[in-house]
Amino acid sequence: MNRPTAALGAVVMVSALATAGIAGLSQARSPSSASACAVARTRVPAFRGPQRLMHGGSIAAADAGSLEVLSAAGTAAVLPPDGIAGMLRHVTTRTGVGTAYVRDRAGADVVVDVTAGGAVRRFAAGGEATHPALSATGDLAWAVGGDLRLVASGASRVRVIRGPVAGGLAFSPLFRGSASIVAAVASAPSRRVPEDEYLSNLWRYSRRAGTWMQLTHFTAGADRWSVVRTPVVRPDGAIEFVRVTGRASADTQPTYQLWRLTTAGAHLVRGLPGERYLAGYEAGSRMWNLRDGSTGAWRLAAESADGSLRDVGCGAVMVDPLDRVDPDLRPGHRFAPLHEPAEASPPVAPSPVSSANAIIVGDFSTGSSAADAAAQITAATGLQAIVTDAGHLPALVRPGVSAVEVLIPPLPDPEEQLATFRSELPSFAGWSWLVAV
Amino acid sequence: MATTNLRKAGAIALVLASMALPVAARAYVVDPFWIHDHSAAGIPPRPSGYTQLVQTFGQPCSNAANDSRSYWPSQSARNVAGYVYYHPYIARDVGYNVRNHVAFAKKDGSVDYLVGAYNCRPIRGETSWSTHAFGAAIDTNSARNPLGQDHWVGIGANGVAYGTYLPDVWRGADPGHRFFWGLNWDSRPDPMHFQYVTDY
Repeated sequence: MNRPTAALGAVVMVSALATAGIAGLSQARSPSSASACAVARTRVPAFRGPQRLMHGGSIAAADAGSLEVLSAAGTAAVLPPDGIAGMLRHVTTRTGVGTAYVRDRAGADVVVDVTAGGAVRRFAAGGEATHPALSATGDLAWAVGGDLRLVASGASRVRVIRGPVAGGLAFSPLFRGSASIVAAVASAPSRRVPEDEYLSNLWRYSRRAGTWMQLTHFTAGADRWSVVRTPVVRPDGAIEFVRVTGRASADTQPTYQLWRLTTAGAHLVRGLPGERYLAGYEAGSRMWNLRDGSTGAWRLAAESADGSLRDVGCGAVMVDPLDRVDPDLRPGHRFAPLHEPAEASPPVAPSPVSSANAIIVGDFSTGSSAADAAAQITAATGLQAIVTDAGHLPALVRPGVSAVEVLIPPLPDPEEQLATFRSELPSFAGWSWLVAV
Repeated sequence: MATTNLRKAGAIALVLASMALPVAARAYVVDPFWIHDHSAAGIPPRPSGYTQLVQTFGQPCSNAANDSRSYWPSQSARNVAGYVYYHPYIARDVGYNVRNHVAFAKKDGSVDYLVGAYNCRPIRGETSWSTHAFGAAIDTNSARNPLGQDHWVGIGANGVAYGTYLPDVWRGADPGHRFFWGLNWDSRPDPMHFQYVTDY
């Protein structure tokens, strides 16, 4: 668990807001032009925008090319002062300390730190950077791969803090006082789960001892998964985070819970009604990021004492923007040529369509049991049902068993037909699939 | 429709004939009625970006996301076949075109474990959902082609080197293929991964 730290050469590029920074910003485009946010915001004059970032605040979020800074005076849209291309992702701010965020680019990212002293420091992140954090004294940390990066206040040297799990992924670091950093760490991919996530826990890194200690002890397997997301520090010093659990094979929504970590350990605060992630605290209120299901935009909401939510703005704090394309997910040809068709793909239809034209029901251990099912299906639905097997549909049926093929009329929504089929024949609901034959 | 009628007539005849065959003799046979004309008929367009993804596949981990299936060699372990589940939106692409394409070419041996599709999971460390949670992506030959590897290893379950045969079938330019290959993510190569959406 105790892995050595290393140091990177100085990669910081600093500019002073008092000089080129402000001059460049005054020519900037409107920061709110591409935002879908319906919440009224204060337009900040370009020359004052960076001051909002220098002073910091309780919440800052990325929204359509601008930084949304929340304060008692309302929400202000501020154009980032770094002059770097790249998608804004993961923003942190601290009153009296400054604001830091990631410029997500194809390949290695840049972490930008706008300090209280007016400097705009740009750090080559050394890879895909996530979740920058600021300490009360201005130390800066972020995660890259399985490790953390740390820059002491006022310093330019980037230290590498090796993560605690070989092959793991570190994310969401937080300063807990000046002596330790708490971070989430996801387990390494396994043979059964070769990508995506099945388990993560919170760990604490002691800056003095250089050692890691596991703080939460959630468990998971190949199917049942458990992840932690968006840890934030409460005003009382405790850490709150969202735990999400689910089953990989199940077509049911995962479970969301609010947890709290204190010196006594982690405990469940309450279940959550749906997908939401912590964004921080503003004037004592817990703040949430909620995803717009259709557009992927993130809303910011403040939780009232009775648990109800009030919209206060838009933007992604420590969640991942969905309404813009991640630069790392653009098609490239560095490792393989692109095989794109010569003609453009036709536009996506406004309503769902499907290429399925049959329902397959099975498996049945014998042909006679499949024949009985076919008769039952025809009697209930009036649809033609044919006993079939791998000899006829080797791509769809396991050898050695039988199934029933039900041809469905060419209607626009086969999903609706499957739903009707399942409601009419509930005993086959778990054994029926839409296929193309 | 003509193909469907032919299938129905043939299916009735073959039901009777196949009952006499031992199970082993029917393993990995080729669909006798498969016609792959590379036309666009019945092939839905490939969405791009989050908004189009949810327009076509719905929300992650939805009821529909695993409502289609097909049977693949080396699905759960080397030479252990099994079902792969995904969204019906790509039923024709995966279960009809690509799967039959491989079988028709007698290259089932090119497939190696693990083969998987629907998987209700978040992307590691992110609040974004994996394309597998929408039933919009397939992983194949994952044991030899892990996330982060910058090349494709085309050795199949039978030990034969097939080069990029499998990726070329999945990402082929003809309608019914056209899956986006994860090896085309320059900064995060994912050679096992094929998805029917871009820019997500």
